[in-house]
Amino acid sequence: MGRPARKRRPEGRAGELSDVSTQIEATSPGAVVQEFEDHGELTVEVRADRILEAARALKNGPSQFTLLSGVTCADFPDEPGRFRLAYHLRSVQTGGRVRLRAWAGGLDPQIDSVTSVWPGADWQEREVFDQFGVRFHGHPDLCRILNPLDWDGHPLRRDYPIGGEEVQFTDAV
Amino acid sequence: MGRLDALKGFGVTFRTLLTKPVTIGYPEHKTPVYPRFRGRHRLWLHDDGLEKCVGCSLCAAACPADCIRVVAEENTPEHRVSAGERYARIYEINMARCIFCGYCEIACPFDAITLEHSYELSEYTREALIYTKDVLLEPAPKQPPLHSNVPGGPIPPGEA
Repeated sequence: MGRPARKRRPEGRAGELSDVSTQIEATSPGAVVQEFEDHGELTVEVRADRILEAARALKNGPSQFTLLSGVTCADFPDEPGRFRLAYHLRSVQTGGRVRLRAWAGGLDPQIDSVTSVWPGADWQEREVFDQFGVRFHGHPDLCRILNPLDWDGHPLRRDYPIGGEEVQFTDAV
Repeated sequence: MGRLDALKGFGVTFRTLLTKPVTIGYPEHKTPVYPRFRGRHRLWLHDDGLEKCVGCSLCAAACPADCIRVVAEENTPEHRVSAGERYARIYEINMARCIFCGYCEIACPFDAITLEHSYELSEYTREALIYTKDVLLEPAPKQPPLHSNVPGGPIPPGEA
């Protein structure tokens, strides 16, 4: 229309960590595994056991990532970590965006819950638990949210059978 | 966009206020369904009281949703249920999985199962949606109206 285009956040020089990663590393050294920028989006991968410290650093630090847009998960059966969680963060104050990534593990996927940092993560983590089976430590009420409460299995896992649940009938034999 | 366009919009709103609504006030007014409407299933009996269903399971084989379960049993001289060699000892349809396609009705060689007109099938539990043979043999408790009671509504097919 007639409005000026939004100013882009300045990108870090090649070889240097971004502000976000620097803040995480300051409070929790060794937490950041890697970071990369693609199509203008910054993704920071952290160790799963440091997710809570990273969350606090990003929310309370100068970046002020006070808004958690969502917690999502993807199943990579060939990777050792298998479940790749993504926390999409936004800063209402600065307009900044970042994606925090962590691998929750394969056989018994667990990670700390970030509900103590962002209360809005409550139902998001419940959905990840319901669909993928990732357990969140410290979650106030971790139970299924989409599927019936007595459902077996985690439907969005790659090994969930397609059209696989049995049609329910009575117990008559 | 000038001021005149805004007034034109208000004119449309006002004219619509004066037209008669076409909304059908369900549940007080209901339209009857077309003759071949596919609603709730029904299992049928012959005039002499024997069941038409012989437990051949063609309906279960035809069902795209795999929601029919048939377990057949031999008819004995003491206990004769159907008109053929065997009868369906267990016949269940999971109405939560049924897609109301009517393939079971098409597949049945004995006209034992048809889809009737009843469509008000809500239940409070998933278990209540698993219809067993005794439920299916009976006509539906909630039958749709035979004639339209919609005031000033369109004349349904087959009437007038």
